[in-house]
Amino acid sequence: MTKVLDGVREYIQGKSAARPGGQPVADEQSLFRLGIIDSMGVFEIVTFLEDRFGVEIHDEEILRKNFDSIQRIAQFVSAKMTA
Amino acid sequence: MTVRADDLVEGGSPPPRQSLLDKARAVRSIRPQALLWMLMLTPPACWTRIRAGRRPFAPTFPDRRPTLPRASLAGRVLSGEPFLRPTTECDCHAPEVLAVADELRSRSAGDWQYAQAVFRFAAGEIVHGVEPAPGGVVQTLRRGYGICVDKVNLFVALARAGGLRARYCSITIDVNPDEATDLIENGPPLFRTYARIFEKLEAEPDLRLQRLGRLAKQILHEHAQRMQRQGLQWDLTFHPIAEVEVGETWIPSDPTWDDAEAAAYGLPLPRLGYQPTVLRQLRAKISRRSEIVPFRGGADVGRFLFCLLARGAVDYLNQSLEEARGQGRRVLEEVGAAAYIRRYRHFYVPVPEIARLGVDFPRYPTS
Repeated sequence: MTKVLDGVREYIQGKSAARPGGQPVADEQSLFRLGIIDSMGVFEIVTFLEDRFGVEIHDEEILRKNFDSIQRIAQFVSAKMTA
Repeated sequence: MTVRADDLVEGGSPPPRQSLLDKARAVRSIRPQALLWMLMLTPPACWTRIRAGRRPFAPTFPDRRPTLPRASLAGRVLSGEPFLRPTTECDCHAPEVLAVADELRSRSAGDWQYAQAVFRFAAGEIVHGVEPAPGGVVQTLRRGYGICVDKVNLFVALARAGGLRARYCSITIDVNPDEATDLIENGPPLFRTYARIFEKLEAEPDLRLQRLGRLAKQILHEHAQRMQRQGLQWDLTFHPIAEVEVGETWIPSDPTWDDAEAAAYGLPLPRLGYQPTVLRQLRAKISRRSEIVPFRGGADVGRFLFCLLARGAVDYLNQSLEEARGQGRRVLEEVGAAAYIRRYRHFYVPVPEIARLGVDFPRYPTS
């Protein structure tokens, strides 16, 4: 979980820093509300997670609840890795 | 029928439809100050043209194809069948349209390849830009740019001119207030495109541009928030898409964006045979199909007046779209189209029944 959390955090902080006035993001903050992920960004992060952690993410799993924060993404990926 | 509403709506009962009152409220939200700032930009835009020896209300860019080849109509059998014949704003029998269709046909091995060539032409050769188009598809061809409906008209005309049945589709989106977070980012792609242009406008050193940008952004956000709050079915009547029939399969198509513009605004590269962005991104569905373009008249007059009275703002819009295409081209050169597509691979959903065409059709495009 820690390894996944670190990887997701690094990716999201990079996305946030690339935005004008980008601020560090807390693990529990809503990425949609902060505008770090949008409907297109979700597809980008899915590709990143598949490539980085070797998981396969299905279309029906691309739900806001799985991608709304660093913590939720890490939990979702960790659950898939242990399944 | 290729696209079924059930394929595109995720479930739950649909929200109520947008009423006339909602539409009136949307129009009312355009503030007089925004109109004033737009009007103020017009005299300098006209003056710049006069100094350059151009007509005061000439289009932002000169025609990209001032002379068009014309096909001979002698001995040619022109179809009068529904979906193959000329209709309002879609003169598929114009010699200029037939010349392009002949050229694309000569380079295509079959109907599917021809449909792809037409899509690439309408999406890529005709760029996204705002001008009035009273001359229809021939004028769009000559000018080399147009808004979504001009590009759809040309797509339909070229498909019909090449012997493929083509029709117009109106789109309805469901706005579910529980799920929608930010319609600017997650709503129709046009919202995102214009939001970026307004942000750029707001950052300009010219005070008039700044104020116009701020007001336009505010209006767009308020409009999106109202849609979100109300949770309605909204008819995107201003943004029709098209369907072309290949081998008894109707394939939806939205040629509004070329690759460069899509890359500039963080949208997937449009490819025929995959669900168009506007259908895939939202809980959108095709609500109506027709042989003729779903709207005209009032919208054409509105566009004409907008381009006349707000000439400076229109120039800014067109120049911003041109700049965005430059940025998008740089992104694609740096990343590569294949890698860019791969980044959004989960976005691509092949059109149902596309396999019936018997062509090699990957899960997501490879280039």
